[in-house]
Amino acid sequence: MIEIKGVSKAYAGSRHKAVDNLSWIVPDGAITGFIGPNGAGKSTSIHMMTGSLEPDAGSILLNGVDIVKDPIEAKRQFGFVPDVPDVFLNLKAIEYLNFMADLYAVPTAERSRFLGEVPARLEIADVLDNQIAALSHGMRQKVIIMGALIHRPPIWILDEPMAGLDPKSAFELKKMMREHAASGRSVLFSTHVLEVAEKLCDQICVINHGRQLYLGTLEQLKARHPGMSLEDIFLAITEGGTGDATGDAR
Amino acid sequence: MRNYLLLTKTLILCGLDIGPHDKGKLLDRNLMAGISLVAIVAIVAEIVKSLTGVVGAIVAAGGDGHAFVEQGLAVGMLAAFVMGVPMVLSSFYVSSDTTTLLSLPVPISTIAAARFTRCFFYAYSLVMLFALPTLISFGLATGAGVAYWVFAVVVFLLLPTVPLVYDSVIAMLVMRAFHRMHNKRLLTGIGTAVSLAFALVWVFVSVSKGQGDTMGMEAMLSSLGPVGAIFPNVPFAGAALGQLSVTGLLLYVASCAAFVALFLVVAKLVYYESVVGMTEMTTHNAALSGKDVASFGRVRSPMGAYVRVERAKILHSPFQMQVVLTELMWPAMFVIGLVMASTRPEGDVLGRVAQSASGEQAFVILTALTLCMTFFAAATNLLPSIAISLEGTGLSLVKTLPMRLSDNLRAKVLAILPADYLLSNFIPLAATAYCIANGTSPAMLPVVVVMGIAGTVAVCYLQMLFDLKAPNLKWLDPSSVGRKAGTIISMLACIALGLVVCAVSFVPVMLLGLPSVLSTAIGLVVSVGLAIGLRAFALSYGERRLRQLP
Ligand SMILES: Nc1ncnc2c1ncn2[C@@H]1O[C@H](COP(=O)(O)OP(=O)(O)O)[C@@H](O)[C@H]1O
Ligand SMILES: [Mg+2]
Repeated sequence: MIEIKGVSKAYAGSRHKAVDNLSWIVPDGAITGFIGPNGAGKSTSIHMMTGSLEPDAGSILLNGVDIVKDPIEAKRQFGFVPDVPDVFLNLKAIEYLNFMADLYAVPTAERSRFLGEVPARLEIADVLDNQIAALSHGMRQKVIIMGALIHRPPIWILDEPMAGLDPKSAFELKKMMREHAASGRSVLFSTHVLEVAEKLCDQICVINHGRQLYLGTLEQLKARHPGMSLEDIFLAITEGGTGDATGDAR
Repeated sequence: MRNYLLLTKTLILCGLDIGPHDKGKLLDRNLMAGISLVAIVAIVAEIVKSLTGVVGAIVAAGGDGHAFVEQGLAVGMLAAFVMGVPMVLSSFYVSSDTTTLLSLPVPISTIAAARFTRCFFYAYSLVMLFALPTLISFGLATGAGVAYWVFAVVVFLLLPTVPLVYDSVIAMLVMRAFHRMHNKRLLTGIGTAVSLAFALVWVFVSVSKGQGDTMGMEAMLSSLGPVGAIFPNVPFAGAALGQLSVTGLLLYVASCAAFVALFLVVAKLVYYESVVGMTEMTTHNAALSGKDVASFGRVRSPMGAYVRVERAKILHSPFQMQVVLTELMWPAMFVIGLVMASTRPEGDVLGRVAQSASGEQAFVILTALTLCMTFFAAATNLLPSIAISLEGTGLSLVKTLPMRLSDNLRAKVLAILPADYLLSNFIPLAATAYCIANGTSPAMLPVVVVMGIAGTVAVCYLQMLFDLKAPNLKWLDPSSVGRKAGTIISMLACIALGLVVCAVSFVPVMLLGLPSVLSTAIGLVVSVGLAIGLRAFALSYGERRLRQLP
C-alpha cells in the first residue's frame, strides 16, 4: 500500500508546480493506473514515491514506512522500473541482475527459481550474457523489469512499463501484474495509453498539469459520462482542467 | 553552406552543454570556467615573460628570430596534432548523435565538416597555451607594429587547420580500413592511448634535453627539428611574421585552404563507410553457461556487490579505462627520467640510492617519492572527479536502491582504489623494496603502504567533492563529461594538496634541523589524517547533496 498525502513539487527555477497537492491511496490487492498526457507529472510523482526526488510538501508512506524519514527501509518495500531503461549500460545483463539480487540479499534458492522462470517468460534468456548497451530498447526494458522484480517486492512501481515491449512480453507483464495483485499486494503503473489502463486497472488516478483530476474506477468514470468513448472522456477531463469529473469520485 | 552552419552551431552548443540549468549551478559553472580562464591566462603570461627574454637575447645577439617563431608555431601545431587525436576520435566516431546525423538529408561531407569545425574550436585552447606565447613574445621583443599583430591574428586563427586535417584524415582512413571489425570503439581507445604515449615521450625527450645549463623552453623548441617539418605551411607563417611578407601570409592561407579541400575530398570518399556501424558491439546470443548460473547463485554482501558493479562499469567502458590509465603519465615520466639520467656519466642513480639505503637519507627519499607519486599521479586519474556525473539520468534509479546514498560514493572509491593505488605507487613500492634489500629498515614497507593508500583515499574523496558540488548529469555521451571544467580544477587542487603535504612534512624538519625520520612520521600522520577527514566530510556532504540532485 502506498499512502500519498498532500504531496507537491516544483522543479528548481520553475514557477509551475510539476505536482500539486496530490493525495491518494494505492491499495493492496489491486492494480492502480496512473494516467495523464505527456508532461502531466506522472514521473515526477513516481520519483518522489521512490525516493529519488524530495517532495516540497506532504509525505509518502510505503507499507507504512515514510520514504523521507526511513528511506532505506521504505526502499525495500518496492521494485521500481524507470521510464528510461538506459541505466548501467556498461554492465552485462546478468551482472545487473546479480547486483540487484545481492543488494536485496536474495537467497540462492530464490535466485535459481527466478532465473529458471522469468527470463523464459519474457523471452530474453539468450541475451543475458550481453552488455545492456548492446540490447534493444525493449530488451533493456525487460532486463530492468527483471531486476526490479527479483527480490519479490510487495509493491511494484512501474513508469510507462509497456512502452517498447512487444505484444507477447506486454501480455506476460500484464499477467504478472495481475498475479501480483491477486496475491494481495499492490501494483502501480503509469501510462498515457488508455487501452492498457482499460483492460488492466482496478483503480485509476488521472492527472494533468500536476493536479489530480479523477480518482476511482473506470466503471464509475464511464457511468458519469454515458455514451462517450473512453478517449472522449479522457480528453474532456484533461482539457477541462478541474472539470466536472473531479470531486466526489473518491 | 546553410546546413553546414546550422549543424556546426548545434554541435558546438551541444558539446558545450549549454542548457536550462538552475541558477546555482550556472554560477558554479561560471566560477569554474572563470578559475580555469585565470589559470590559463596566468600560465600564458608566465611563458610570455620568460620567452620574451629569450627572444630578446637571440635578437640582441644578432640571431634569427624568425626561426624562433617557426619553432613556436610548430610546437602549437604539434600539440594540436597530438591532443587532436582523442578529440577527433570522440567527435567523429563515438558521439551518440551519429545515428541522428546520418539520417539527416545533408551530404556526408557536411556532417564531417561540422564535426571538424567543432574540434577546431576546441583546439584553440591548446594552441593558446602552446603557440600564443611565442607570437606575443616575439611581437613584444622586437617591438613589432600593427601589421605584425594583424598577421599574427590570421596565423593564430588558422593554426589548428593542418594538424586537425592530418588527424581526421588519418582517423577516417584507419577507421575505413577496419570497418569490418567489431567493437570499433576499442580502436578509438587504442588510438588515444598511442597518441598520449607519443605526446608523453615527446614532452619528456624535449624537457630532458633542456636539463643542464640551457633554458628548458629553448631546448624544447630546438628539439623539435624533424617532427615540426611535417607541417609544410610553417615556413610561410614564419616568412609572414618574421619578414612581414604578404606573399608568405597568402601562401599560408592558401595552404590551409588546400588542406581543408583535401579533408573534404577524403570525407566525401570514405567518411560514411568508416562511421557506419560504429554502434556495433560483440554479442553472443546463447543461454547462460553453468558457470554464470553458479556465480549468479552466490550471495554476496550488498556493499561487495556494489563495489563489483562499479568495477565492472569501469572495465567494460573504453572511455573510463582510458581515463584511469592516464594516471600512468607520472610514473612513466619518472621511469623515462631515471633511464635518461642513468645514461649520463655522473648518473648512477640506483647505485647512489643503494649506498644511502642504510642511512637516514633513505627515509627522506622514500617518503618524498611516496607523497609526490601518490598525490600527483592519483590527481591525474580523473575518474573520481566525474564518477557522479557518469551516472547521468541513471542516478534516479540508483537513488531508489535500499542503501545509504553515501554508500554509493564509498563503493565508487573502493572500486577504483586498488588500481589507483597500484598505478600511482608501484614505483615507491619498488624503490622501498630495493632500499630494504640494500639495508633500509623493513619497517619502512608498512609505512610506505599506509601512506600511499591514505594519500590515494584523500585524493579520491577530494576529487569526488568537486563532482558532487557541480555534477553534469544531462549528457548524451559519457565522454563529454570529461570536458567539465571541474575536473581540471579538482586535479589542480589535488596537486596543490600534495605540495602542501610535502611542505608540511619536510620544511619544518629541515629548518629546525630535526632528525629526518621525523619527516616520514609527519607525512604518515598528515596523509592518514587527510584521508579520514576528507572521507568523513565527503560522505556526509555527499549524503545531503545526492538527496537534492534530481
Ligand atoms: N528534471 C527536470 N527538471 C525540471 N523540470 C522537469 C524535470 N523533469 C520533468 N520536468 C517538468 O515537470 C513536468 C512533469 O514532467 P513528468 O513528471 O516527467 O511528466 P510525465 O511523466 O507525466 O510525462 C513537465 O512540465 C516537465 O517539463
Ligand atoms: Mg514520464
